[in-house]
Amino acid sequence: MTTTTVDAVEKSATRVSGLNRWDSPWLNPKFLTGMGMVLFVALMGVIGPLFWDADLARVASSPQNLPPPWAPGYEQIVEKEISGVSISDSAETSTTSPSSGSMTGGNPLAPKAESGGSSMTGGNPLAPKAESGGSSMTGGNPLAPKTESSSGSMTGGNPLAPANTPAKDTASDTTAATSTVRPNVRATASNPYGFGAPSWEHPLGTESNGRDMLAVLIVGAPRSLRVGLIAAGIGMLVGIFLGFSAGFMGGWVDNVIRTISDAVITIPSLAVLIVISAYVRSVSVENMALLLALFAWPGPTRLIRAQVLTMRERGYVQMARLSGASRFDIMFREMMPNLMPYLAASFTGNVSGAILAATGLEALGLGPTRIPTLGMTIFYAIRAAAILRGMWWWWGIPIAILVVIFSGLFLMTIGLDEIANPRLRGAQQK
Amino acid sequence: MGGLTPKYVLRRLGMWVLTIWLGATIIFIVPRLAPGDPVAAMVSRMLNQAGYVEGAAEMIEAWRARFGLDGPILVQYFKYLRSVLTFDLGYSLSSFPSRVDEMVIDALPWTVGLLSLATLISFVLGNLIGAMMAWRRTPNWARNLLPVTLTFTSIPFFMFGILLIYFFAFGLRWFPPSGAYKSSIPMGWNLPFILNVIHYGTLPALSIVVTSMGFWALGMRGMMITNDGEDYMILAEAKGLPPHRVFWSYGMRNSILPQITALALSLGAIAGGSTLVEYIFAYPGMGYLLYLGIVNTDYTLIQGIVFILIMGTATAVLILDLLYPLIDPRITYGK
Repeated sequence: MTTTTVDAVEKSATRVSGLNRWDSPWLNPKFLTGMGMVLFVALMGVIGPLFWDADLARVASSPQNLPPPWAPGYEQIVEKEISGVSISDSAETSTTSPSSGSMTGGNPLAPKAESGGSSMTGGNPLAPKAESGGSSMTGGNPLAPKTESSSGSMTGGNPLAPANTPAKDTASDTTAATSTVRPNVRATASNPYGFGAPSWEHPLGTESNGRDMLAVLIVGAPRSLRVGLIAAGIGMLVGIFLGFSAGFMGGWVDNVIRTISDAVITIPSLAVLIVISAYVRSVSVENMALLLALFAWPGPTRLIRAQVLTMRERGYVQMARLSGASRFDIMFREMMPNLMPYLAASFTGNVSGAILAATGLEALGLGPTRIPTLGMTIFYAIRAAAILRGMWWWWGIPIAILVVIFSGLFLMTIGLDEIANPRLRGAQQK
Repeated sequence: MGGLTPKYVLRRLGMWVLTIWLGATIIFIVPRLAPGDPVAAMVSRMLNQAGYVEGAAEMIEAWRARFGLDGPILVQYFKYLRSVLTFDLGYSLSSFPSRVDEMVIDALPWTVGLLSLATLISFVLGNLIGAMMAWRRTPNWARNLLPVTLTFTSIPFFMFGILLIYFFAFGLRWFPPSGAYKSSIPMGWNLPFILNVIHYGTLPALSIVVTSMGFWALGMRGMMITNDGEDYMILAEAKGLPPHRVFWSYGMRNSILPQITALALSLGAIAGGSTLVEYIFAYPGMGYLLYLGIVNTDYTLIQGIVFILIMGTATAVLILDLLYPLIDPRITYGK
């Protein structure tokens, strides 16, 4: 479907020179920008595996972002955190201290031994201690924190020294404290150890199941695009068939098709899809696309029907009819080229709709569980309260990629709309 | 009242019935095509938890009878249609003694309130922005500023909701991240509670308004541009009518009608998208209930909620369709 669109459009663009941005999508800045954004995501899936190990998208292939309690250095880190709280109390930021205290308490403990151990080897907290004597880790002594924290904030062991920077809040204190321990990792008040945060080994961070986010993107993003393309493609084919049937045959066929497509279009498709996938549970990417296609056809059907009705009585169609062209020829050689801009706009819109529905289902935990997808990553992030733990990379990066996809498709749709619908150009011409 | 002929009303009512019937049939048939038996799965889960359940086989049979899962499929289907027509949505599988209809009735006001307010605000704001974008007399600063409001148009509701939670609930702590009201404030129609509900509802509503506004703005802009070239607009200006009158009574009045059709068509999508918003914000409406149903594999609850959602959107579309001829006197249906 897309290839024919592209071919036809390309031909018309090369044939006539002196076109403006409303004649060909290849001259329309909105369409081109959108196309670039979508291609960027698609290319990421193609080229990405050459530069980055896509196997890291598997569970437990990367450090998990939770510290196990038996990991070496865990206790010291906890004490560091306590010290951070105590100094923030003395620095009259009492409003922030309960929050950071609750973060310490609320930090879930990772159950897996091997991968947990590996997470600690990534940034071994004991190694820097050996190097720099200044950051004194005083064993298990609970009374030591004051000196520790002051050394953490680089003031040379004097507990009262923070007086020259009294407004320091918990976040910067813990950052300073942990940065001496794990130099690669950025810690914040809500994620005090900075576990899983972007680092040199894992540029986009890792998540609790031990997946590398960059690898998840490389594997997941093209999948989302594919679901959208398959679903919208099937919806388009069905829509073309039904739309032409309704527009050409008229009578009861038209009535039935129009009524049913009007009815289906008002059903909240996402809700029905939720029922279906709640029963089917383990859906593959392809099955999901088929499910989504169930609700992708009424749009194109309505559009094509309306256009066919207006075209049917146009001169060139009547001419073709008089010269004995078959019905099939009239449909596909006379009408189809004129429908192209509409179809293309509707197609990109549908792709976006299908991806939206797919990510929605996945975000509810109803997607494929074995393969990483962007939506499932968001689901895991929400379930692990990553938003409130400040692990922005976990949910933020999939969302950023999805936003690129959606914005790209949206720009393409708008650009194609401008070509199909001369009315929309008005304001710019003035 | 010119356009509201009995034939038109009957046709619309027919569409309403058809939509609901189609939706109900889909959610009846598809689960039965899928492998697996919900009741058996349910009982086996209980077995896993309790170790041993007395008379598991009898229990399965009894529950099948209760949930209408016995007998030939046609009989099941008609039983199902009858129960749906009488709003008898059965018992919840996961919280057994409570009925699905009761759970839905508890959740419904939250959803209806959030959704109708958010849609209304986004519709009004979006149309205003779109009209201003196309209006020639719009001052330049506004003309440059308006497109900025459409930045988030293509982002799905719930993803924008996540961003809002991160920045305004987690970062700035201006708004609560989840829920619909503070449990320490007693429920009731008093000022503190209403203010509290507004405080909690701001972020969910905002995530719907900001992301859906652009859709209306773009449609409105297209309509206004078309209208601008019409003879009646030129005449209105030539007559020397004040600009605001030309804008409201001539431009907006004529452009708003196709927008209402578009609203009717997109209500289903809005309702679907808002279930995810409720899930993200743990807002105690239908969407969150649906999520709980999924988590607990509570099939009767899921089916009941989805049926109510289909019914609700179909009814909203019906109301819009019936209002349409009243708003647009030019259209007469049925001839």
